Parts: sequence; C-alpha cells; structure tokens
Amino acid sequence: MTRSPWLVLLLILCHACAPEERAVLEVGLQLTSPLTEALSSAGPRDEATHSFLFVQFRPASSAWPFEDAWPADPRDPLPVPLYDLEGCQEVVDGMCRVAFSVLSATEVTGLRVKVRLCGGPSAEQARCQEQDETFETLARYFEIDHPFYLGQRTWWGTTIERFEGPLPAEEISPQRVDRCEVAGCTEEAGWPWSDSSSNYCSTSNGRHFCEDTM
Amino acid sequence: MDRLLQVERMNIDARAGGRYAPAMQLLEGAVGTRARWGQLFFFLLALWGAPLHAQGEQPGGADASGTRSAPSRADLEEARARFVAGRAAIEAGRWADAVENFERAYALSSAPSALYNEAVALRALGRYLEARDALRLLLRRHADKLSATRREEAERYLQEAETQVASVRLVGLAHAVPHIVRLDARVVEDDGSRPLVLETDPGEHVVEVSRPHHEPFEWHGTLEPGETTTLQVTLRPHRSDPLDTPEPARDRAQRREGGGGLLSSPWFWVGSAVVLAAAGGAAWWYLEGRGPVGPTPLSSRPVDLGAWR
Repeated sequence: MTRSPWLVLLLILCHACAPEERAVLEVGLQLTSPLTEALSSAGPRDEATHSFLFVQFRPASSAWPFEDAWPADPRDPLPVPLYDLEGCQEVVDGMCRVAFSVLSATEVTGLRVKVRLCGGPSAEQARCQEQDETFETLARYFEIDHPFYLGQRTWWGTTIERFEGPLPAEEISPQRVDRCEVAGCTEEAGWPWSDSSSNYCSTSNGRHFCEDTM
Repeated sequence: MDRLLQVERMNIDARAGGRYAPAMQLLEGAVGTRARWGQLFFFLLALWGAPLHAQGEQPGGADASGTRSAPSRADLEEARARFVAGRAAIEAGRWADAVENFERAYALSSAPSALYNEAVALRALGRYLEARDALRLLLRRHADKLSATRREEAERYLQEAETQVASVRLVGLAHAVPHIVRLDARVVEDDGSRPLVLETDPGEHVVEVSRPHHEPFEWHGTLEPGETTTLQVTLRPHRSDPLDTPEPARDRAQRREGGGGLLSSPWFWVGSAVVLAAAGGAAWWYLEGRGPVGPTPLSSRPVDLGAWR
C-alpha cells in the first residue's frame, strides 16, 4: 500500500477535525439616565413596578418576523433586572449599560434584536421568559445588516431613550442598522454608543474594514 | 579383412556392448596391406583435390566478412596428418583420440571423409548426440559428395542416433530470466525457450539449474535410450538475500518470510492506524475543548445564533 491513501485519509480527518470558525458580535445597550432612573427607582420592594429588560436575538430570516411572538428559549439571555440597577453591568453618568455576546458561524446572517421591557406588579424574571408576552408592555426592535465577520469581533451599541408600545403587530417598525455602523477591525473599534455617527466602512471602496482583513 | 574384423571387435569393446559401427569402411586403406596403403594415398589425394567448400561454406580460416577462405597448404598438411593420426587411434582402440583428430582434420579441410569418420567414432563411443549432429551436418553439407552407399549408411546411422538421444525437459523456469543450466557439470546455453529442453545421451546424468540469489536445483537420474523426462524446477530465493530477487518473486518471498522492509509489514500499518486514530482523537478532544476559532465572547453567557437557524 502506498502512502497516498493515508495522506488522503489524514486530510479528511484533519478537515473533519478542523474547528468551526465563528464570528462574535458584542451588543451593548445603554439606557439613558432618565429611563434608567425611572426603571430602577421602584426597587424590588415596590410590588407595583418590577422591571426587567428581556433581549432576544434571532437570525434575520423569514422564520423570525418581528410581528410574531418569539417563543422564549432557554438559550435566550436571562432577563436583566433593572430595579435598583441590580442587573446593569455598569452605570455611567446614570446610564445603565448591559452587554451581550452573540455568536454566529456564518458571516452573512443579519441579526434581529427584540428588546422588551417586562414589568408590572407580578413581574418575575422567570415569567419574562415564558412564551406568552403578557408582560410585554414596551419594546424596541432592531435589525442589523451584516454584523458578523468570521474570525472577527464586532461591536454594535445603541442608546435607548424610550420604549414604544404596546404596538399592534402591523405597526411594528424595526430600526435598521447599517453594516457600516457595526464597529470592528479598526484601531478605534469598540462600543459605538451613538446611534448614527459611526462609519466602519472604507470610504474608498465601501467595504467594511472587517472584509478587508479577511 | 582380419585387421578390419579386429577393428570391428575393438569398436564393439569401446561401445561396451553397443552395436557395431562399420567405421572402417572409409579407413580400409589405413589398416591393411600395402594395397590398402595405396588406396589411402589415392583417398588423401582425392581429399586434397576435393572441393573444399560445400553449400557455400569453405574450410580454413574465416576472413573479415565471415566467409571461410580456402585452406592453406599448411592446413591441408595438418589435416592429412590428423586424419592419419585418427586412423591410428582407431587401430589402437583410442576412440576419443580418433574423434579429436578427425574433428580437427575436418575443421582444417572440410573433407567429408573426416566428418564421417568423426561421426562413426562418436557413435562407437556411445556419444549419440554428437554423432547425430555430425551426421546431420554431413548429410546437409556434403550429401552430393557422398556415394550412394555412403549416404545410405550415414542416413541409417543418423536414424539410429536419433532414436538413442534422450531429452530432459525443464519446466517451471521463469520466462525472460536467464538461468545457469548445467548438464553433467557442462554449462548449457539457456536460449530462453520454455520449457527448456536438454538433449543428451542415455545414461546417468546430473542436471543443475541456478539463478542469482536463489537456491540451486539439482537432479540426478538415469535416462534410457530415447527417453524424455520432465523435471519441475522450483528455485527458492535465498533467505539471506530476498531483496535482490526480481519482481514479482521478490514480493512473494518477502511475504513468505515476513521480511521486505517496514512498509510491507502489517504491524507497521496497524501501528500507523492506531497512532493516527489516537492523534485524531486527541486533536478532536483539544479542538472540541477549545471551541470554534475566533474571538472569545466578552459575555460569560453568550448567545449562539446558530440555535435558531
């Protein structure tokens, strides 16, 4: 037997063993200080207003339209308790910041983001994850274009001043986020907390900086 | 005639019970009275005057083109001397010497009488194979120079010799591989024909066949007149030197002996497979533990979007 079949087998095994490449999008949400104050002032002892921030991420595909209720999934992030600023990762100038890491094995997947405010006299963290959206009173919707680049880390952040709703399904209008608002692959890459000013694409060819690094 | 009968008796003795060959018919003049000597003189004179070439071949030395030139006077002088010596050898019962002298006389003169007497002497010695070849040559080359009686005798002797010649067929020799073949210690050319046929005289013989790096084949046996025996020849490679044997015998030898280098060993391949599987498992374990290639998520509880494809 020659060595060639073994080399072919080795290449197949190596290919099978090759780790899957992934992309990471860091999502940061910043609640303005008034909103933060409003949501956190009640505190856990105030039975009237228990507030949680429940964020869901889904691929931008027809399977996950915004107007449909997205069944809660154990893999969803835990609802973030906002009362008493308990769940904020950091509070900067009175603004509560929370962050999430979203992984994708494909580059072209757009991302849909539902940010719901779950609150009320009977609000509980666990119940915010239930399928029914009983506690959904206010929400924000985002659809990010091309947020993932394999092997790269990207950032997208936004500041939420208010929540809308509750809205009828036909009136839901997601906020579109262009790919050039997704930070990454530049020296200054990091959390872009402003909603519109950042541009992370090359002015010469319009390509995202992360495309040029691949 | 008494001398002739005496020679006939010697001939019988020389053949150890074989049939009498009237070899003296051409040598009558050499063994008898003065008149016989006179006949011999005229015979030799005729030998000198005889055409020295037959069927396009000439006696004597070969020139640059390969054709034989006419014998020189010195060659003919020696041929005559050899002929006389051969005659004397027969008279003394030294048949082997007679063969040698007649053979030399024919080589120098191409005289049919010398070749005929050589054949008869060979026959008297029981060397039927050489006698047959000499008689075939005589009839092919000098038939037109022989009298009708002599030609009939030659043909009869030839038929007799052909029935005496025995053969050994060697079966199993590799094609296109030259073998060293010895018959009674004499090297026989391996012309590549398969089976290789060896012709010889009846009697006890030894056949040896060998190839480089192989154990030789040897056969001892007795061949009856006209017998053809077949020998299955199997040459086994030397255990100590299997690598130099030609393909595919080398591979067979290596498998049989469990040798042939690392790559032909099944243990090598089994070991390679085990090592490869272990390496693959280790790599899988390592890579699985390390997870996908890419940046490490900042969150300790990242959301994998692939869960909702």
